[in-house]
Amino acid sequence: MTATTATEGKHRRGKKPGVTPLEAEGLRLGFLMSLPAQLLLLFIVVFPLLMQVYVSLTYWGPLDGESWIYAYSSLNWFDNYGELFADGRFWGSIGRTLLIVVVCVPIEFLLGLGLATLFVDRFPGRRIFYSILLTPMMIVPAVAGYMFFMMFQSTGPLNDLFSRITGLTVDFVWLSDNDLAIVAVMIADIWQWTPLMFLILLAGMMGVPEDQLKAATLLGANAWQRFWRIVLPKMKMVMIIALVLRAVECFKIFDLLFVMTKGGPGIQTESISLYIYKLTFADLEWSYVAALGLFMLIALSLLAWVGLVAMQRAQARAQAPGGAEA
Amino acid sequence: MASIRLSSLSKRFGQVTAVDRLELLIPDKEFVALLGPSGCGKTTTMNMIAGIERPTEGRILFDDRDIQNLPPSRRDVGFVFQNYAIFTHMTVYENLAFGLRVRKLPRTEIDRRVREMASLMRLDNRLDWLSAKLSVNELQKVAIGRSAITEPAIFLLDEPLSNLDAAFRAFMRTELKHLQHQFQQTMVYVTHDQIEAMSLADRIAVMNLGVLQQYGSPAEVYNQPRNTFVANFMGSPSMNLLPCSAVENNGVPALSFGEVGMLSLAQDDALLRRFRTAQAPSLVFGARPEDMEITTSDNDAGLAATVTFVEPIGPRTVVHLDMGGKTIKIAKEKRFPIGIGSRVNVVPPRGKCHLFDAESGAALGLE
Amino acid sequence: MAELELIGVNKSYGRVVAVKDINLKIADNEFFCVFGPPSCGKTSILRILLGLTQPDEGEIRINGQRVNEQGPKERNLAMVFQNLALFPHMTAGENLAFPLVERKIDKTEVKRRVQAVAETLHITKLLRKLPAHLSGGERQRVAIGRALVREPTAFLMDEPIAALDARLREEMRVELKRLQRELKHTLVYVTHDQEEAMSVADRMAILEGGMIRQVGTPDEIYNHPQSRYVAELIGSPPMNFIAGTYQPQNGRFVASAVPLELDLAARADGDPCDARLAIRPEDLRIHEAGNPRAALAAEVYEVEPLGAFTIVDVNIGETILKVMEPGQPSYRLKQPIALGITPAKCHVFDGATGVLLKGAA
Repeated sequence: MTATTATEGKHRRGKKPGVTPLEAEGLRLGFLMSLPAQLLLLFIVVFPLLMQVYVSLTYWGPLDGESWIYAYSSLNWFDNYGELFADGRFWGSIGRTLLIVVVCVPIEFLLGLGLATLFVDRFPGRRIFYSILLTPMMIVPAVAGYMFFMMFQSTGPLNDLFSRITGLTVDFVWLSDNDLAIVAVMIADIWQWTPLMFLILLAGMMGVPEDQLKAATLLGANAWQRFWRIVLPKMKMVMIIALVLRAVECFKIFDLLFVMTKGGPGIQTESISLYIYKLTFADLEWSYVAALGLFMLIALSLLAWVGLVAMQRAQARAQAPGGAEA
Repeated sequence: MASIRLSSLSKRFGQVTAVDRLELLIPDKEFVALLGPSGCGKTTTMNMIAGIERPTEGRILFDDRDIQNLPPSRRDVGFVFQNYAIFTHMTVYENLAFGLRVRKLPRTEIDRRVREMASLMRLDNRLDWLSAKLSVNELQKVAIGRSAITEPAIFLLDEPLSNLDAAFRAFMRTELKHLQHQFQQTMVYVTHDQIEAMSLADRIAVMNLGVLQQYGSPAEVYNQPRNTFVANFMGSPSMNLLPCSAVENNGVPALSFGEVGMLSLAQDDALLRRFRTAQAPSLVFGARPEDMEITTSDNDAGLAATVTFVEPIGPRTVVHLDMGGKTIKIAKEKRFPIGIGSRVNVVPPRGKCHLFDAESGAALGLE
Repeated sequence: MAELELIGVNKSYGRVVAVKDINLKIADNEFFCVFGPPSCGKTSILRILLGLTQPDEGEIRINGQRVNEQGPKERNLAMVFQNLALFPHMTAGENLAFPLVERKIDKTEVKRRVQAVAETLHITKLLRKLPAHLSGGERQRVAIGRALVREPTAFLMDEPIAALDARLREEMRVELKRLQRELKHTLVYVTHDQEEAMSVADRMAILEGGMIRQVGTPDEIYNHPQSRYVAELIGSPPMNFIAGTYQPQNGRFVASAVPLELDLAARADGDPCDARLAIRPEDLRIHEAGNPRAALAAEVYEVEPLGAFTIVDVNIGETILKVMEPGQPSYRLKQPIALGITPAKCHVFDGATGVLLKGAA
């Protein structure tokens, strides 16, 4: 018997590393076929990136009247980057953006998870509710921004509603108030992006094997125990993906803000994207924008990397060999 | 410990009737097999007992208590799924402990019982493993252990042996039966394999197309099938069923098999008694392959047949014969000397023959 | 029409041995089964015969001719796969004609050959049906027919009926055997079902880890296994094994875990060694407790009545043996009984290597 198992083990192990001639041929063909696409990608991604690095090391701007190629004439090495670290408005916008991410993403996540839990079971009218729930996501963000812009007007429907409920005259100047403006923006973001969370988490929840849930029920687990012990651990991966995806997206928030507040009042709701926009089109500080853009790229990459590592850890645990851990 | 009573239990999925007015009493501590081909309603019946499926009509009683409105998690049934449904994100230990953890038992008690069960199931050195690394045989043991650890009153098993290899299946059959004797639980076992049902169960409920065909001990179901379906389904090779008609031969009642021959009933009292209850002349004669005799002498009263194929299957030889265009099988001992093409006489066993009504398929003269 | 031969065939993938030292001669018109557990090299043998895999070493001969250098098409062996691989969008007739149409054979000739094959297989009436409307057995016949129209030298089949349910499998294997007899083709048949192999094979080869353990008729394999591996693999319920010591010089076997001493009436040279006594369940006899002719006192552990016969599990302490009795005898659990062992029906295998030390008579 031991002899049998030994050879079987060998067979199994043998399948992974070796590349058969057939597979090797497939790989060669694959490389040739994708070569044009790879060259195109090189042109699309690498070239602009290099250009950006180059420009970010100069004072070049559109008013110089010279093509960017001659930007070296105003070479300043890392002055732009130094300026960046001292730029209070920049750090303020980063802080504000992070605040939006930290508040909105968890709320969207929890709401999405709650909704997904509801929708994983069948109930009458499920399909209709499902479609209605997903609509916000389909709306162009600028249009959504406009809707909330109207809603949050001091004479808008929201204040009107509050007035009717409370019987008092409620006239919050939502979008012009130093503190309320950012709350309004957050509400809009949550409204628009909870559906995406819901969709991703629902898909994950549907993937939890039904027979294991049945088994848990028959072993005496109630709904809460099933959720906590079976559903949640099995959805870890999906949750990480959803959170990373939304965090990165939310960090780039622009259109909602642009339509609702334009970053105002003052710069109270100015996000990093909005700041970059203003620098580009109002201040025409192109070389500074290039430096800023690069900085953001690196920062976001780090963020995504942290998420990926967490994901890989979760995956590694799921596939850990027997006996490797208790 | 509980008895289960199913009272005119029906389940319909739209137009399809999966289970049709099922009446069944499963006594306390008994091992009952629900046996039938796929689509016979056996799994639906089991799911209704567990509460996974809600009956369209009828009642389910545990110890005379209607459990209609009791949620599955509180029915105190252990359920072993066909595909085991092991929690893949948990170790063997966590799987075994699950039922106790959700009952919020003290940690030390859980640990003690998990280790006890693991040693009973011979899973001691697998406790830290995740299910992906386990063999099918081990998965099955985890599935059984995980349910048994909560000591449920009723144990339901859905084809638990069907994914195992032949040798381990034979071993598990013995072990399962032994476990049931140890646990003293009421066990309901769903299977399509008549050998499993015969060897394990105290009683067998044979089902077909949602209807209960026969309910009795393995010996009853095997030796006194109530109809042709049961007769054909039990046994391997299955019972030989030959259409025939009732005639009189020189004043003696006989069965005519057309050109193949005639079977006088003068010698066989039991068969004659069955014959007398027949309502119509067209009948089906049945005899088990292991009961039939083969002779080469001509003067024997028997039916003419030609050997078409001889299967040596280990301890037995199965002889296939052509009898007027119909194939019959006769099981003999190892190395039975007979050649393909031999013309022989087949002699039915006295006192061990069955007779069925050709139209309804019902057995004749069964008390 | 074809004699197939493998001489000293070896094949490995990197460090993984697929088959090793295969010497096999399959006679013309023989139904030859290749039997073994999963990944024991069964399918590799078929692939090497077919010409889909080149062996590292060794020669493949068809009718005495070396064919190593020939491709699958030239060897003209027909393969029927496990999943049958019928084209679902073509009728049975179109499926049958497919290999001929592929070869651009004349239309009237195609028609004639399809008709002839359909008649042999009794599927003339099914030719216009789509595979989806055929039963498992009918599909099987169409798949064989599609291989047959090419007029192949021999047939190779890789578990062609493994996916069917038990009853249908029993019918289909008889059908296959009948067809093979009528068509008079050499057939190499791979299966992991020992009952199937024994039922249909003229001869069979038992594989383990890419090597042939034994070749013989089903009767030889079942009654005269040459190693413990073969003895364990063949037979249901499986063979019983009792651990102990064997003394070749006086032919005595002394069990270690149970009080049993047998004189096996065989004499040979050699030192006493660790060994396993093996006996088939149907060769053990249950007597009343205290019977002087019996060899062993035991207790009934479990009873499995199977109708035509009954498997009685008996235990002597921790050792459990399976006894197969005809009919439906009745026993109580824990009932004391005595076990009769006929020395002539016992095999003895070496405890370490599993090699046969003393065979049954």
